[in-house]
Amino acid sequence: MRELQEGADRRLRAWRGRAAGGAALAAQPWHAARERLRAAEERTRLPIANVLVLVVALSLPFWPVIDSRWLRILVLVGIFVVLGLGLNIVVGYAGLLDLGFVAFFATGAYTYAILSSPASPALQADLNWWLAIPVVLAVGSVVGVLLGLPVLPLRGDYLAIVTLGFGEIVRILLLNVVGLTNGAQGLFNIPRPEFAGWVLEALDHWYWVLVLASFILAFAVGRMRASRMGRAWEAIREDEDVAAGMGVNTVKYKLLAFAMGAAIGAFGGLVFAGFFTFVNPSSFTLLVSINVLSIVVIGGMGSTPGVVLGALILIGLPEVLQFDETSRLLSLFNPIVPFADTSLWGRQLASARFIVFGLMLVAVMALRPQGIFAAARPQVRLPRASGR
Amino acid sequence: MFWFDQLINGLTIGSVYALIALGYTLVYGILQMINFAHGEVFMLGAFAGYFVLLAVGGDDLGGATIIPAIVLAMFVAALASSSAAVVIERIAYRPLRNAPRLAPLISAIGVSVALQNIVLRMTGGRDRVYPRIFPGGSFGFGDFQVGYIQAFLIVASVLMMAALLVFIQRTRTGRAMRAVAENRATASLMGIDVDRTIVTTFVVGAALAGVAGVLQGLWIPNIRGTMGFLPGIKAFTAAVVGGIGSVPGAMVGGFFLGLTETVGRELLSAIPGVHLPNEWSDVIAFSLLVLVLVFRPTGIFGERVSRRA
Amino acid sequence: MRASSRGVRWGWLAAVAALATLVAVACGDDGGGTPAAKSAQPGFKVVAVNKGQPIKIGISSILTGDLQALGIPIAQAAELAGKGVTVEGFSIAFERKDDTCSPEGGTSAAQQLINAGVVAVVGPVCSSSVIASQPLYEKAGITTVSPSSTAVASTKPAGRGVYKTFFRVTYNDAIQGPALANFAQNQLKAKSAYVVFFNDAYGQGLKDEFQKAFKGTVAGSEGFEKGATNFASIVTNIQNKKPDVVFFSGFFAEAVPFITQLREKGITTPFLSADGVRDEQFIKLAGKHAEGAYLSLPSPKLAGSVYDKFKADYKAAYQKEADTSPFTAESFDASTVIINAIKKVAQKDGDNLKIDLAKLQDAIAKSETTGAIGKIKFDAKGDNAGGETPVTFFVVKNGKFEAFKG
Repeated sequence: MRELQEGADRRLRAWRGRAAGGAALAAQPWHAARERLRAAEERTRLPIANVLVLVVALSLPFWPVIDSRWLRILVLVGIFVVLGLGLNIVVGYAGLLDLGFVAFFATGAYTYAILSSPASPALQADLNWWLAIPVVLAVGSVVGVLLGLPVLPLRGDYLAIVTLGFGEIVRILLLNVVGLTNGAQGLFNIPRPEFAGWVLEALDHWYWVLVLASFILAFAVGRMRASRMGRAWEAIREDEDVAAGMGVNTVKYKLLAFAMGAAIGAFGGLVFAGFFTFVNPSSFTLLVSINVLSIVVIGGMGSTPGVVLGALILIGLPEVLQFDETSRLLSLFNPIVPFADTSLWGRQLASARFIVFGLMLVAVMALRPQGIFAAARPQVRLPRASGR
Repeated sequence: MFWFDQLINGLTIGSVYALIALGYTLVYGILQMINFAHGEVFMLGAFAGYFVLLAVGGDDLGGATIIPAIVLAMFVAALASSSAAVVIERIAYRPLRNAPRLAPLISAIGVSVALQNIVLRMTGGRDRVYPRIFPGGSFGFGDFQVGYIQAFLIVASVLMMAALLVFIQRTRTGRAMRAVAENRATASLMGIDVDRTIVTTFVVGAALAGVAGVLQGLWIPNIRGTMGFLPGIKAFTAAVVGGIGSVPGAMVGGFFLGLTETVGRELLSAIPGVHLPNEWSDVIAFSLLVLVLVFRPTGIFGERVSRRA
Repeated sequence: MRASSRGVRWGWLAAVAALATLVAVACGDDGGGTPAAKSAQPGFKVVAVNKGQPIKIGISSILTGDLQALGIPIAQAAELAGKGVTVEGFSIAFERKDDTCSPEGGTSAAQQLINAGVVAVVGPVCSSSVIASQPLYEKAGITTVSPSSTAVASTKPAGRGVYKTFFRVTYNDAIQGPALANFAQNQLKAKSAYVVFFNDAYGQGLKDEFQKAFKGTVAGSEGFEKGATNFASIVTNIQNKKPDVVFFSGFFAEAVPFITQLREKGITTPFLSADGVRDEQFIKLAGKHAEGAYLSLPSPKLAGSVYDKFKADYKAAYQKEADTSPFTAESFDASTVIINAIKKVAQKDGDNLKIDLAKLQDAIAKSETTGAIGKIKFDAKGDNAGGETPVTFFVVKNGKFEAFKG
């Protein structure tokens, strides 16, 4: 087994050497490379900074400024963090531009909704939310593989438009296959998660569950990235032909990327359905795919903190713009700004919040084209032949 | 005649798609970026044409006066769309020329969202309706009737596409555009002003979209801030089916998509046991897209394979 | 041995997942899962309004995007009802929140309004926001009166009792749909109908109710998406099928291009539609093509002194006609119902004002109002049961809506 592993690493090393245009790395001592790999894995192993972030995140509901409005938005942000983590695998790690991620989000939400809502026209299964987790993950990854299969030969923007098409197809199916999805009316009164009499309903509980879930997912995704699978994804992202030439099974790893991303996306949908207790097709439009992609790119492709920050900005900001505090803050400028009543700006800003949102995307990209947390790519780096 | 009518419907909407798709494909050919805000450029053209027609008399126009009015509307629309595209290129895309591939895409999405919402806010979310100045009615033999407006739309689009082909093949600027698309660095070494050529490309694509906006407005009178989004996506799809980066590909792709949505869907519906009303047209269009790309992964006319996302 | 141990771990995960799936499915079959949310008592509180502060009423409507043309006039009409009104010397202030017509936006707006200390809410405007936010409002004990949610599900939530804190002024699809079908059969003598519907909750819901009640043949039924302007393909199909009536289930924004393209094709089949299209804007934009169109309105009548006064006040306040947009009169009435109830239950408490939300809900539930749309009173589910003839029909004649007389 070790030989296999070493073989893969050697291949990867050789490929890096070629990609860098440097001399062959064969002369490099093997253990140095090994050390680097271990360090990369080490980084995903809950260092103190991560624990601190987790503690701060978990304590947020106790902060005096964080009231239920903030928490409600943070829960929505959390759902998009989950989606962002999923898409990050597909776009950030494997470099497959997916404009139809909403398909998986919808799959997860509707799988649970159909299996639990009393309004579900096809079956009354009363599936428990917690037990739905494995079901949704399984269905999500199957759908990911199914949608991934036909697009295997496609690259770049061809892939983007086909995935966009899949997203739209899924939404139109949800609208038109009324016998299963109840069409545009949607499925309502979806049960909230319940475990031994404890119903997950309070906002802070939801928030904590989402923070923990995001951390577990981020950890799992980090492990995947440091694994052989992650290295294969990176190889495919950097150059698919070379990767294939070096013996990376591109079909397998591309499908794995779709499956993993889709499963996480579907989990996001499950949370959405359990939290809002209502799903209808208008929540699963192309705009969701665009939003999630923007989160990933704005945060910095492949970066996990980037996903969190991206979701905070893209999902949180438009709502915060219509908060009363924003209005009040603006009216503070009244003595400074001549010839204008800044107290009126609040309402105007609220009604123009999507204009602000659009311009902000442009501004962030202009200032940080690599994203806010420019991801260090490639993640696994072997020493150059010249030595550093 | 049912099938003939659907064929004309398909060709009409197809020519709108094709005109918009050309803008996508021109920009893609030269910058390898998806100009997501292109649908909004089309929308701005439609609004510019609307205001021109209102200013020169609106519904009172009649007889021969409609010809100069429509020409003026198209001209101003082309101008407005081009100016918008130049500004967008300068602000949102040029600073990102050497940025990672997805940065300009997100920037373009931002422009698209902002423009939609600016126009929505200015119109209060209400539709504007084009003056109905184009003569109604149709011509043809017996059951084979073509509406004047549809005929005008198809002919005008085909003429513009022909003009574009001549422009790209025969003029100096056209050659420069092809050169930059081929290899930006080499073109620059050959003394071509790359920045200028890129702006020209945006201008040409936007002008076509602007005129398409007026043409659609004359045919389907309702215009609104979000009107560019769906045709934008469809046109992008058309450009990809044709082979993104290829000019003839965008034209063929546009007509192909238009016909698929109308004649194609009805043909499938004609199979006994298959019932596919209008709400399924996008499913059919996108499924066909998948099929085409599975067999020809780079579209009908595509050569270029982009390697990375 | 790292690779092999990883393989084992994945195997474990797969096994656990498979087992859990089995258990989950088994549980589902037993029906042993959780029952749907039980109807709990609303969390009514008593709100104290301090001296000098206004009484706050919330508005949850769509204020951005392409439905703002619907949502902003609704918000304005609601605010009109509270203009200059004082209760025991306390003025009334409205808090507007944009709910983007979505479940996410609806719940976020609800939370913001609840936290802002509103005593009641006009809205939400769209059924999807209503359905998602009902549990929140119920828990907070805040009564909502929607001017425009037509989905049957709003007052008939499957698997639970009704929401006590939800009322609506408009009538649901189950009332309007059959009335439209009857009209097509009896007045228009239609044996076949072609149905064109907006593929959203409103359009699909109304179309379903229509088709259920229509006894003739449905020659075809085709949907279109939000923002559709191109109906060429549908029109060609209608020309081919030659139905006796075309039933359009949607809003005026799409009805205008549809009827224009239908008539320009020379098809004179009667056009029948409902409240979403009964809008001055429809006549204004479709012009001569709107002539002869039949439209239903689930309110008894838009006439009478209250309506005239509302129309005049609205025009004075906002410099535009109230009936250029649907549901403005309904919104004015929803707001009026709330304000009247506040007047009834508000009690002076020293310098402050006390409003018991339980009593407020009760007052709204028992209220009987003559509003701009006619009589309004609520049944046990929260539906408006005020109208004696709940659905009236109009025909467009000489650029005006005329009441249809048999």
